[in-house]
Amino acid sequence: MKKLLILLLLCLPLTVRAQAAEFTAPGVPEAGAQYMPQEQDSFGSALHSMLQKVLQELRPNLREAARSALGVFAGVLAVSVLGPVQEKNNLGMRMVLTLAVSAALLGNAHAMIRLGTRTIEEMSDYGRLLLPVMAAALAAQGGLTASAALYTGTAVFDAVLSRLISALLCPMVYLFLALAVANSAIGEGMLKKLRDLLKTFISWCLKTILTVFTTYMSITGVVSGTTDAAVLKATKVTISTMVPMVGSILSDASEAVLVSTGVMKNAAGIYGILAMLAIFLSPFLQIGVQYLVLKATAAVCSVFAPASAAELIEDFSTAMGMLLAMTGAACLLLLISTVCFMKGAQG
Amino acid sequence: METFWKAVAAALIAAVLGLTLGKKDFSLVLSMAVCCMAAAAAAVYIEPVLKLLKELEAVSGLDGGMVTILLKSAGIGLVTTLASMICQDAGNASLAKTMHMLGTGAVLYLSVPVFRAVLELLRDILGGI
Repeated sequence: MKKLLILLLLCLPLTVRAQAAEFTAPGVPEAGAQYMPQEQDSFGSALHSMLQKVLQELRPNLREAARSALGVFAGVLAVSVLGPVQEKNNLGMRMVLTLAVSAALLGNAHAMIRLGTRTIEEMSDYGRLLLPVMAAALAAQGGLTASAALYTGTAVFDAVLSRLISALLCPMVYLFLALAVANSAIGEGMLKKLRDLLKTFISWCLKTILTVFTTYMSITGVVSGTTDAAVLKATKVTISTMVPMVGSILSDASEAVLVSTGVMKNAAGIYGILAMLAIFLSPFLQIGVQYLVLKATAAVCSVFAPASAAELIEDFSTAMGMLLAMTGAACLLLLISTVCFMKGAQG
Repeated sequence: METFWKAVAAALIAAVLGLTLGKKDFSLVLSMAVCCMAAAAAAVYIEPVLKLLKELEAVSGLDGGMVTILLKSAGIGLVTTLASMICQDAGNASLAKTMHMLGTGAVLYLSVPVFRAVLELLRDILGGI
């Protein structure tokens, strides 16, 4: 009878409903949905499939960029070959050439700046959905300290970077172009220095934020990861020694739960990385195409055009380069933080 | 290339004649005549460039008016510079400067549509920021 009662008491916990946690990455926004690979079994093949889709869609952009470059080339050729633009005092000719190049390139530049800003906003919005999932998954895996530290750091840096880019750096790109056009038209030394100062400032801002962020993530990852790993180990030892008879079984079972949570976390992380790349790749490559085509145009025009015209085309190319740096920085920040979450509580 | 060598030879002969004859008025008239001849000879070589520009304009989809404005500006610049230099050779620096000013004014007048196009672009950009 006693044995029957003990058996019934031991069966009582079996009446509690079993529960499981699920960690899924948020769905891809519309902008990137068309580039998401159908199968995501292998990261390499998924990335390859995504690149193929993006490159196929890049052809119209390449054609448009080439047409714009040919237009600039025709305008510069018309003036440079027939007109005495080389004379320093020929302000009228210089202004006409500057206006012609600006009219041909400003529209495209504006479209690319808007594309870059929109992409950064979309990536930031997706990051705000993905990172809490990753933080929760890491916490469930036992990385309580790491998840809090990593999430705080990433949220702060992401907010700072996206706000800095939209409120300060993007308007500075417009200002850079304005100074470049004015410098080309008038040829004033002070304008050139201001233009170079802006370029240096934008570059310095991005480098500083990324350097501080990666340093913070490395230190936080090591310190909190070590702490969490030590806590997990101590907990397992405690369970296996304190609970009689079934302690080691419970310890192994908890290990299995943690490993499963880790698998789910990594799956969510890989999906999140692919989703961010789907949002990022197409706009990045479009801006990259503009950058390369403008660089080539500046190089070709420098053969026969006056230095001011070639320099102006080069400045438009530099503006595209700055946009590439901004979008790349925003994507890199989120990718690094996702990878840090995936690395998790391993020390 | 025969035309090129003939034009160069004519210019050099005119320069030597101008020095040896010592008559300034004759030298000036001779310079003007040879300049016009050389410009006509240069037009032969510029024609294929203009055809290339037309082709580039068609391929790039550039506004036809833009290229015409640029070509006219370039032509005005060239003519103004030549006229200014002839005035300087004649010893009339004030006329030379006036030619220069006239050319700049004409080029800026021609470039008003280009100014307007850039202004429209700026309005779109500033409206969108």
